[in-house]
Amino acid sequence: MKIENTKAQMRKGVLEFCILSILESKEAYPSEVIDQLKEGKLIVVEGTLYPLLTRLKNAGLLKYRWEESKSGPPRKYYSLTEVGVEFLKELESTWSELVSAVNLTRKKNTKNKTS
Amino acid sequence: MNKTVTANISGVVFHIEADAYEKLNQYLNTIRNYFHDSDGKDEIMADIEARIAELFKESMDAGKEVVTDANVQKVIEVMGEPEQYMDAEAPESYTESENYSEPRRNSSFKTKKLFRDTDDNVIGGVCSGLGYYFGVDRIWFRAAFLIAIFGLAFGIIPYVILWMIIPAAKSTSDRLEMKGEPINVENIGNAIKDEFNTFKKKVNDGDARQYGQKVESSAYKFFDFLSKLLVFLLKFLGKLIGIIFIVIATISIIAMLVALIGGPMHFDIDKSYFSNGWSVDFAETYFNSPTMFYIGVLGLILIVFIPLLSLLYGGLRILFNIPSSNKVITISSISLFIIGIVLVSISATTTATQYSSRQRITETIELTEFTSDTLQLSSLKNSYSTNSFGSFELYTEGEEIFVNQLEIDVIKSTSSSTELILTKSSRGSNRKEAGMKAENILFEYEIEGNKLMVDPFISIPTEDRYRDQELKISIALPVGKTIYLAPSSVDIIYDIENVTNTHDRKMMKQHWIMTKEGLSCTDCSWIEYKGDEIDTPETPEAPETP
Repeated sequence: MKIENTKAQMRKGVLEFCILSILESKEAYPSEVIDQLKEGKLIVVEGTLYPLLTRLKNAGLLKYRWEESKSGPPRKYYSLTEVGVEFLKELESTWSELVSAVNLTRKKNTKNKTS
Repeated sequence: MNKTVTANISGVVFHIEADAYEKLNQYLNTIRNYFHDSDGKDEIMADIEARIAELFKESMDAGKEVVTDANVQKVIEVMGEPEQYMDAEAPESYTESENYSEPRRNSSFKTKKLFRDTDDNVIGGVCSGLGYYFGVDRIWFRAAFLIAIFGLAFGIIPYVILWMIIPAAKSTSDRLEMKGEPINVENIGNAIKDEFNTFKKKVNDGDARQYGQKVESSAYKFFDFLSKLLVFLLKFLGKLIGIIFIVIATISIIAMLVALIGGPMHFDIDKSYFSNGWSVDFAETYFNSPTMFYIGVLGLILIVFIPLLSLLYGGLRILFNIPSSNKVITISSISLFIIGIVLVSISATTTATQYSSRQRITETIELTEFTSDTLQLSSLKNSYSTNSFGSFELYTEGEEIFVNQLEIDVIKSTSSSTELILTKSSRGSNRKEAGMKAENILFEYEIEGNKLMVDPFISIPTEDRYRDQELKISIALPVGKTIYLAPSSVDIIYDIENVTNTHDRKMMKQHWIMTKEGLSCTDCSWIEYKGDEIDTPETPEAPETP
């Protein structure tokens, strides 16, 4: 069991959640999404985002529209579909549950250790 | 000065340095290979290309004209190395990094190559690489090599050869090529089908309208199929040649190894049949010194095996698409071949000088014990007469070399007594040495009443070595005496002159009297005498006396 694998797996689970959250408030093109994800150190290289976006789009959670760009080829602006909004809501409640569950378990066990 | 190429990336035109273009192209191919499984790989690739175009455009806006290697390197850094894609994609297949046994699906069969897997190796990673190549769990190859190494002593040799000729998978693209799908008919079919589907999809999407027009004509489809078929056939033919190379080389190598271990054929005097083996000490018999013998053998091995191994290597490279490794193998094999020629020349010339001069000495033995009118000649070793090949035979026993280089002739005696005139001859590096060696020649004979029995083998002291020693015995027979040639003497007599010019073999089992003119047959019923006409030519068809 490699620590890198576990870490990557944890990160991957929340990555989709984060992407959907970023696109919740406003539509964005991949570079913008990447910038935000990089800030949170959730993603290191850009290449990994494209397959994720395509998968979410194919799953019907995202949609996109083309917009001409002055600096290069036209850009894809992604936004949530209705299914995506529902999906995100579900994830948000799951996330809160998870956070409290993790906190609770950790608190108990660290207490046990110190006492 | 650098050459540039023009490339259209996602609809934007760029000038790219040739090297940088090659790098970018390889990068995109590697990623494309990787995403082959994913749904919407074309879309992912389009997105990635669009982003790359955007990044290039940004650098160009800074006032530069040409995309350089550094730009491409930066783009790769931003977008991520192929292995980083691997981490991000397909979380469900996470266990894969711990279980290589299932090769990644990849239908581009032409890119699959044989590499050594240096990340998962026991020795050189040969078995892992073979496992990927054939789509078989590498454990089978390991087991096979293990059996080969411990079961047969030289099982390690094929492993070492493969280790040397298969390059290690160094870069990520090497690793992807290594893990490509196994090459079999089903996958080749899949690849063609796949290609066709993407093509159809492109047409349906309307992404590529230029294709749409072409596809109208069924001829295009047909020629497309035909060209693919042709490519496939050519590839198949190439592989076939590779297989033929390998088969020829393997058979020859095995045959040569057997010959080398088995040794040359020789006659086993005790068992009276021919057998193989290194029972004759060649180093001590023919060569000047053991060193020269081993130099000669080593040279010969190099001359024989280097071309065969090259053939094997060539065949393996064709068959398994092994990428050409460095020139070291080529250069070293050529130099080893040349070294082989040099070694053989050295050994041959130094040995040849040992044979450069010949010396003869003559001795006479008077057969005083022999008083009767008829002399009966036979061979001392009866078993020997079963071998009528008349071939050269040599064996060593104790401190002596025995060789069947003895010839007997019958001539007219100048005196009234029967004599044996011995002519011993030998070669040597000079006449003196040759003379000494000739003197050392011994032979064995027995006289029993009127019987003379001669051993067909002469003996030479081992330290003299075999230097083409010969012994010629001339039986000098006074006029009026008779000689009877027993059947066993067939292999020791040589070209006995007689008045009827009868061949040696016909002279067997007959009595011959010495006349003033020469030997004449007394009981040959098949020779017809017509007056003075005595030089009747040889008549092989004539029936023999029962």
